[in-house]
Amino acid sequence: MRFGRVLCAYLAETKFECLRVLRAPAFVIPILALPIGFYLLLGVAMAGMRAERPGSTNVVIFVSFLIYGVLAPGLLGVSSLLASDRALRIIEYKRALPAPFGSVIIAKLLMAVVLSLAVVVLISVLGATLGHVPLRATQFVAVGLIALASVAPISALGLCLATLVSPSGASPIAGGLLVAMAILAGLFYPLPSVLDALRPIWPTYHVQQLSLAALGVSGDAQWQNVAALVGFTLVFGFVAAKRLGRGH
Amino acid sequence: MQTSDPVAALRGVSKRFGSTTALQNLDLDVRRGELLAVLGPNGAGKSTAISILLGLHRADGGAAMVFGRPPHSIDARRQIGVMLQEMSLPPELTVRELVALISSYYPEPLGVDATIRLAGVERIAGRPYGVLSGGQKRQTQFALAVCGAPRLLFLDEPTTHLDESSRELLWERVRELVSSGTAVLLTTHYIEEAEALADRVAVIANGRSVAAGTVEQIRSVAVRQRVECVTTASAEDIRSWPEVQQASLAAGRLSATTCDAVALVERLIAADRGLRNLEVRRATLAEALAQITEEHRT
Repeated sequence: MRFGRVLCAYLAETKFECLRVLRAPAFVIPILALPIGFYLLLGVAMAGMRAERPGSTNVVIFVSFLIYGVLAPGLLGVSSLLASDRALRIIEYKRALPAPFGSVIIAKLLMAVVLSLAVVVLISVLGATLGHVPLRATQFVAVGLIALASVAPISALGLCLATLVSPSGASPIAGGLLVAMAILAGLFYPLPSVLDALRPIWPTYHVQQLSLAALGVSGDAQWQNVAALVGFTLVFGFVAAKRLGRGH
Repeated sequence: MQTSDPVAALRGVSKRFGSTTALQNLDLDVRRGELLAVLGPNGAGKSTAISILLGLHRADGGAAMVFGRPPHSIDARRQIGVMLQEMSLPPELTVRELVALISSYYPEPLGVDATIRLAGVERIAGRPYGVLSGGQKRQTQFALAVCGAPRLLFLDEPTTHLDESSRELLWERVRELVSSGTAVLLTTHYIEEAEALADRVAVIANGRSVAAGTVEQIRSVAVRQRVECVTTASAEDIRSWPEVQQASLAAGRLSATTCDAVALVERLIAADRGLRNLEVRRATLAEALAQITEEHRT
């Protein structure tokens, strides 16, 4: 088959995946509303009490909510959608059809990027206008792009989870994992030393380090953070692809 | 259009699920331009055989080929269309969008409008799949099965939930596809569907192929015949005759199955000189299947 037609198949899969989600308000509204609501409550409402300079608590909280915001579509959204497709046997049907390899995975990943983009834009606008986040436009763009890039390892984990557990168990486990990835990576609270040492096992920790380094708040970000995120993406993505494509 | 070239074949295929043997040394051929109906009782192994040909399961032993390639290869799958017995589709997408999506997988699809016309789903093309009736969903699934202009079509219980006119339309479309050279593998519980459409029938029981041939050949395998008449002979007497396998008598009308119709008719005439409306007919395909599968029950 010509490359152009294969590309069309990937684009069609992505387009219709996004349409499905946009037509399911019960799915999409909580994913968008939760991080934005929490940011309004904890980031914006309390912003006036904090200092306004890069590196201040406002900036750190803004970055944390940006990462938390992409966790919902990337982890919860992707895993619950894939689990639902498995339960409905849509995945099995597509395995019998000539759906291009990985198109289901790519489509769900890009759907998560689209939803994440909405979250990133909304939180950035709130941060710039109401949240007293004193960043330049280029800095907003930089941390926004890092957050969007982090959808890859987070979605890979969501895909992997949805292929490993029963369809009914995927959403609750993803919900618990979402909270763990936010709190245990130290996005919101300082952690006891034992848990602090374990922060690098969470992809969200590495995203936070990269974001803060991009803003000059912390100089700790190194190639190890990028390598860890690429590693998470490859390992979880490989397991998910293997599980989705396997015969019995 | 039928030729002897198999477009899909199982050769000595075996498959186990845990301690259950689903298929044992099964052979199956589907040829270009023919409709093969795979029949058998529930749990016979039909679905497992189909899932191996679709590349969803791998055989433990033997070989499965589709267009000369392993069934899971993308080149084989680009030439097939599939209508599974139990399948769901995204309820948020319209029929037209689903056709567009599945068409995108194929190198030379029919086109969305042509597919919608062919499947007779013009009136529901703009409606979300989730709001369709059971019959409309089956029609949509048929549209998706044919949208890629497949050379081999798998139809698993295609007319379940369809009303009479929709079923007739689907049968007509299937006949057109077969006459244009498409190979069709049909599994169905509706024996009349197999009788109406099939060029050949393969009967599977206990994971093995127990009979194969044209509908007429399968019917001729069955030695049972049905004898019906109006008689005054008593049901109790009739049931006691050795050549009678089953007999029922209602309002003086006898309906009996036998392996020796001549002997039964002679005995009936001897018992009731005044019997009327005597009919002797060969087994229907359904009766033949019942006999064949009963003989292979282990």
